[in-house]
Amino acid sequence: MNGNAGKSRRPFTFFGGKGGTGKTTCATAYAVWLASIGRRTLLVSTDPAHSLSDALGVPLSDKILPVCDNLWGIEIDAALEAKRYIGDIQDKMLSIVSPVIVDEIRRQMEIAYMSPGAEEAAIFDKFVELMEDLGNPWDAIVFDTAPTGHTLRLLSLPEILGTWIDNLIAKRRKSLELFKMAGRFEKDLMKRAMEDPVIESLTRRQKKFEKSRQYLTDSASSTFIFVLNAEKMPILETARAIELLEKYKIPVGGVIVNRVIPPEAGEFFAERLIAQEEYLRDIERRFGSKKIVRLPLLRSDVQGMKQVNVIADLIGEIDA
Amino acid sequence: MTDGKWDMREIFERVKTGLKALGEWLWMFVIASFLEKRTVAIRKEAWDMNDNFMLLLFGDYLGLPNPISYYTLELLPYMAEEMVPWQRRIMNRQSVAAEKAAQYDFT
Ligand SMILES: Nc1ncnc2c1ncn2[C@@H]1O[C@H](COP(=O)(O)OP(=O)(O)OP(=O)(O)O)[C@@H](O)[C@H]1O
Ligand SMILES: [Mg+2]
Repeated sequence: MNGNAGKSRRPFTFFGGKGGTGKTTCATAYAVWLASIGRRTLLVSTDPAHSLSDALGVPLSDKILPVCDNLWGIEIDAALEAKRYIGDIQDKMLSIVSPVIVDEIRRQMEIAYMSPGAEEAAIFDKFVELMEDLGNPWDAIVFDTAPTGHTLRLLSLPEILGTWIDNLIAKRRKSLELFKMAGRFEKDLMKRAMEDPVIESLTRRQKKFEKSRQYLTDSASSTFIFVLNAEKMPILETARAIELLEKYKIPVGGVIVNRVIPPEAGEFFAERLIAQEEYLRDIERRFGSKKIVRLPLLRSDVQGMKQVNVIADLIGEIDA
Repeated sequence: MTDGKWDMREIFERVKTGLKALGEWLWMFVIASFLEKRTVAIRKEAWDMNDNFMLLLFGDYLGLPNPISYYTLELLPYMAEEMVPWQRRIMNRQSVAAEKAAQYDFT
C-alpha cells in the first residue's frame, strides 16, 4: 500500500451516511489504511447489526481486540452500556437511600432505560470515554456510525443537552437560594442549601458535554466523512445532514461516493451510467468545497481483509 | 392611701411603662409575624421551585418529554428521598403536569 500520513494527523474520524451506502466498508478500509501507514488505530462500530466483524472477517466484541498490526477494533453494544450505567446508579442509590425507596422508584429507572434517547446517550458516553483514552495505545480512532438520523442526534447531544443542563443548574441554584433565605434559622434547611450533590453532579455532566463539544467541533481533532452513492436520495440526505452538522460546528472533511459504476461495466449498465454522470455532476456542484473521493463498485460484496485492502488502497485519498 | 396624689402619679407612671412595654411588644409582634409570613412565603416559593425542578428532571414519569432523562437518572440517588412524596404531591394535583408544562418551553 502506498500513501503518507496525510496533511492532518487528526485523531478522530467519523463515517456517516444513509443506510446501506457503505459506511462500515469505508470506515473499515480507512482504518486499515491508517494502520498501514503506521498509525495505531482503533476502529469503533455502533452498528447494532454488528457488521464490522463481517467486513473484516475477524470477530469483534464489546471489548477492544487486536485485529492486525496497528489495528484494534470494538463493537459497542448500546444496550449493554446502558445497563452498566444504570447498574452503577442503582448500586450508588442502595448505598445512600433505603431499599424501600429504591424499590418505589424502580419504575423511574425503567422509563429512563427505555426512553428514546437512552441508546444514543449510552453510545455517546462510550465514544467520549474512548476519545479520552486516546494514546492508550492508539492515536487515531475511526468511528463507524449508525445511519444518518441517529448519528446526527448523537452528535448534537452535547449542544442540546448542554443548554438543558445550564437551565437545570440555574433552577436548582435559585431554589437553593430561596431555601437559604427561608431557612435562616433552621439548621436542616440550611444544611441542605450548603452542600448540594445535585449541583455537583450536574456540573460534572456539564463539563463532560463541554469537553466532548470541544473534541467534536475542533477541526484539528475531529472530522466527519459522509458516504453516499450517486443516487438522488443519498445526495439530498447528505446535503441536509452536512447543513445540520455545520450548524453544530462539527467539521465535515469529505464526501465519499461509493459504488461508482466503472465505465467498463458494459452494455447492461449503459443507462445507469448516463444517470450516474448527472448525479456525479450534482455531487461536485453541491459538495465541491470538500474533498470528494470516488470508490468503484466492486464485482462482489466487500468481505474479508483481501477485499477491504482493495478499497483501503483508494480511500487514503480522502486525507490528502 | 395617705397620699392619693402620689399614688395616682405612681399608677400613671406604671401604666405608662406598661403601655410602652406593651407597645414595644406589639410592635415586635407585628414585625415578627410579618417576617414569619415572609419566611412562609419564601419557603413555599422554594418548595414550588423545587417541585418544578423535579418536574424538569423526572417529568417523563408523568409523560412529559425529557431529552435528558438518561442523564438525570444519575441524580436519583440524591433525590430519591424526595421523589416519593413529590410523586404523591404531583399525582394528587392531576392538572399540575399541564399547568407546569405551560410554564416551560420544551422546544
Ligand atoms: N464499493 C463496493 N462494491 C461492492 N460492494 C460494496 C461496496 N461498498 C459496500 N459494499 C457492500 O454493500 C453492503 C453494504 O455496505 P456497508 O455494510 O458498508 O453499508 P453501511 O452503510 O454500513 O450499511 P448500514 O447502514 O446497514 O450500516 C455490504 O455488503 C458491502 O460489502
Ligand atoms: Mg454499517
